[in-house]
Amino acid sequence: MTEVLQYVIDGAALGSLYALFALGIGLIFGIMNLINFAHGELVMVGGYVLVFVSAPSTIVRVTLMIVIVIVFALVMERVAFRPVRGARADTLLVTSFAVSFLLQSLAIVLIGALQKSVGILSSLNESFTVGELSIRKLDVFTVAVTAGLLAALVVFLGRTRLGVQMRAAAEDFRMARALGVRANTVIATAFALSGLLAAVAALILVAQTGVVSPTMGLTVVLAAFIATIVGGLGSLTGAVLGGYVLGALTVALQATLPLGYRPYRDAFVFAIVVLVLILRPQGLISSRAVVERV
Amino acid sequence: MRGALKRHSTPVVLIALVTVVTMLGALGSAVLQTTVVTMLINLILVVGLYVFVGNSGVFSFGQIGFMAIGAYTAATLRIPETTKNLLYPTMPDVEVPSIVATLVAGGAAALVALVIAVPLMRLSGLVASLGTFAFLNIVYIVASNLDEVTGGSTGLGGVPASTTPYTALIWTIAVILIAWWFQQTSISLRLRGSREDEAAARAIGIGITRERTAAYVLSAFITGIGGGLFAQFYGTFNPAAFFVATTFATVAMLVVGGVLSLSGAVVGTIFISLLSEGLLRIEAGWDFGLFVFPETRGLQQVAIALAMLAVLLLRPRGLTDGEEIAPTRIRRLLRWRSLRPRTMAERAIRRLPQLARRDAATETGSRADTPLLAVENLTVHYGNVAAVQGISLEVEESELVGLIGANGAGKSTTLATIAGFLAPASGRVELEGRSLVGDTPERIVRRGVALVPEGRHIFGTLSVAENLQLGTTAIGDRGLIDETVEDVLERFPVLRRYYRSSAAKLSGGEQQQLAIARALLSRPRLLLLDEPSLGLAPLMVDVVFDTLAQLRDSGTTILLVEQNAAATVELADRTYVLRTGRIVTSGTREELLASTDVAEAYLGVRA
Repeated sequence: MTEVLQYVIDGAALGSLYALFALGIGLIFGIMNLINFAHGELVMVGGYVLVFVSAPSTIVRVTLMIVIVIVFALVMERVAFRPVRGARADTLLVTSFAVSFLLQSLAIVLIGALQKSVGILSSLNESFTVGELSIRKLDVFTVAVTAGLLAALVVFLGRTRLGVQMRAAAEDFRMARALGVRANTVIATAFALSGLLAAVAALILVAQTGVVSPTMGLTVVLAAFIATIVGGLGSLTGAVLGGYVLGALTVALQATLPLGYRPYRDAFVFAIVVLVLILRPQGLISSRAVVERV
Repeated sequence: MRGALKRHSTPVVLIALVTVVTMLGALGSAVLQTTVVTMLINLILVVGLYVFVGNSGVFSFGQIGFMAIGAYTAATLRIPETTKNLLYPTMPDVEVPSIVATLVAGGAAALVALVIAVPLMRLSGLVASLGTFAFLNIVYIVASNLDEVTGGSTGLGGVPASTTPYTALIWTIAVILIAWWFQQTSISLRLRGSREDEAAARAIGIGITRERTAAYVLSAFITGIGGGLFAQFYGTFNPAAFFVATTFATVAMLVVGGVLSLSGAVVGTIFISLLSEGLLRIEAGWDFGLFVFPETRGLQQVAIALAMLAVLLLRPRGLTDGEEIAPTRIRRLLRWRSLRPRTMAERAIRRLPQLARRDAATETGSRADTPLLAVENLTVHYGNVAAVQGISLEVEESELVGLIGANGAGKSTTLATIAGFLAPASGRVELEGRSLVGDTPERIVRRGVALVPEGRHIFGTLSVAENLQLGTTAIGDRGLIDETVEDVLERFPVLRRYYRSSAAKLSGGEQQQLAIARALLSRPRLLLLDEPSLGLAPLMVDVVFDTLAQLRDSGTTILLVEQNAAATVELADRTYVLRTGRIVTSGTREELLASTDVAEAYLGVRA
């Protein structure tokens, strides 16, 4: 029993992280049909800010990191994605692939290919015990922060003027504009939000692994893509659900695979996802918007 | 014979091009020969990628996984027995000639493609792209860990280096011919047809899954051959060769050349190969007389990424502009027109005369007798087709003006242009003498022109209240919002009843009322209505026309586009009749009824 609970906690923490990744991709796709390969590089930028910026307090350091990543996301939209706005979805995807690779290569040129180690929130790597259960503080932090962010996002999208405009734009961008919804505003907001999600994901990821590298973004987008495929493209609920399903599946395989097969864990996860697709090609939650758009 | 040559001149030109480049390189130093073979292997990989991407329109980020399968297969079949006994005791003791090994490498990749195509090709194109990226990662993980077969992350060595510039050239030529042959088949034709609108293709029952699978398997076969040649050229390799960097390089080559044509694949590969060769020398730290470049890792990748982005932003269909190279077309390709950047820069250039025109319009705008809306000599193109050809119309304050005509006459195009969704090729659109051309839709609605598009476009996932709230987006004065909403709900009581429920639950007629109400909430000076009665039950059509009559009576200015000509002419103060992009006649109800042609053709009345 204790063992099972332990895995549930692991799965919830990992799933939260994956949900953050997938949501960052899903938000932008919903608004402008762009699957942003370069979302992973936003996480990378966040990581490097933590490496290079030192501040008297962790709060200041993290706040600064979040602000820089959001600004970076906005600049990315302005420079790379605005000129191709409205292009076919596959053109947008390839553009973001180029942006992603450009940023990775720039990191290699400017900072170096080797990973850098960094300490942040190291106190959270301690565990506390509840009965026989040993819980890592970072896991609790991850689940709580993700839950908080999700709740804030739900309130924002449901209750504020801008949030309603974003939902309208996600459903029918052209009609939203015909009513006076400013395209630049909603797209910039989507990028700012995805920057925020990337920044928080960077914080958690770096706190977990303690290292930052130019290619760390690959893990992020890969998890996000799989979660998106599972959850259904174009649905934010689907993205979150896909993230948690992926987290649970990963932890379950980690627990049950024989030792010799552990290195292939992720390959098994993908394979299972692919098999699920035979049964449900639309993902768990199918979105009307995708049918219209793709 | 001459006809056949003309029809198939593209592969002839491409093969000649590749042969010349290869010969130039093969005559050079050993370093240059390496460069040439690398380029030819890349060419095979890129043509392989093109066979799938170019035909299906679905991007794959996983083809390099097939390159890996090809490379490991060929290596296993070619490493000599003595080396195997020494280094790779788990490998089977087979040794076959190079050409067989290369073909089996392609076959192995094709077989794997056939299996994974089963789930992958059923997905929508975009999701399939994400899936291909997952496949790349699976291959990478397996290659890095399956030590008995792949040598793990250290990789394999001792493969006899049998790939020379000439063998590579022969394989490249073969691959170009296969790709050319494939795109003449009916499979490719169907795929290309589905490329523009996947949903529509699936809806009319074009089974694109099988066609995509065919292209995918052929693409994997070609890519596997590329991998086989790669292994037999370098002799030593590890999984890192088959991951994101190589994927990116091949995608960049294809995109730079142009995804939509075989010529694009070839031209892009040669272009990027030359570029990166030059950069490699800079990276190595070259001394160019005055300038000494320090050794910089990754510079090559940065440059390729920048080149690819430049192409995507300035010339999204690639250097070849999506066309095949043929002698008859070369002259056209070289002309200034087709080399012109197609997106941002072009839009900026196009806007220049419009900006000038706006200034001119502002000057004349002070005339006292200016109508609320004036459209003058408006011409709008879709690509090369003129949907609207020089129409002129006016709407005075408090008028209800009709615009009728058959399907495709240009009615909706006119409205979409007024609302700012389409840019006119020429002509003026002015609101009170001030041009609307070049303004964004969101600014035009703030200037007082609201559009109710055809098909209503209700936000079905949002509540009625949220739909209405969105209607007020354009109101600058926040104080006015509540009052306006109250006014509109007064007029459409049914909306109050369903205020909190989702808009998708409303009936067609109710949705149309919501669409009109939502547009009125921006307090427009001019309401543009596109086919408000389309698809409604006859009873609801009456309700909608009643609503319009009420709006007219309360002084709202309306431009109404309708197919229901009789009812429109009856209701409108004046009506314009549109046929194939031109206004054929206009007038009041009495005037139109008096004209025999119009009455017969449009109103179903025999005079």
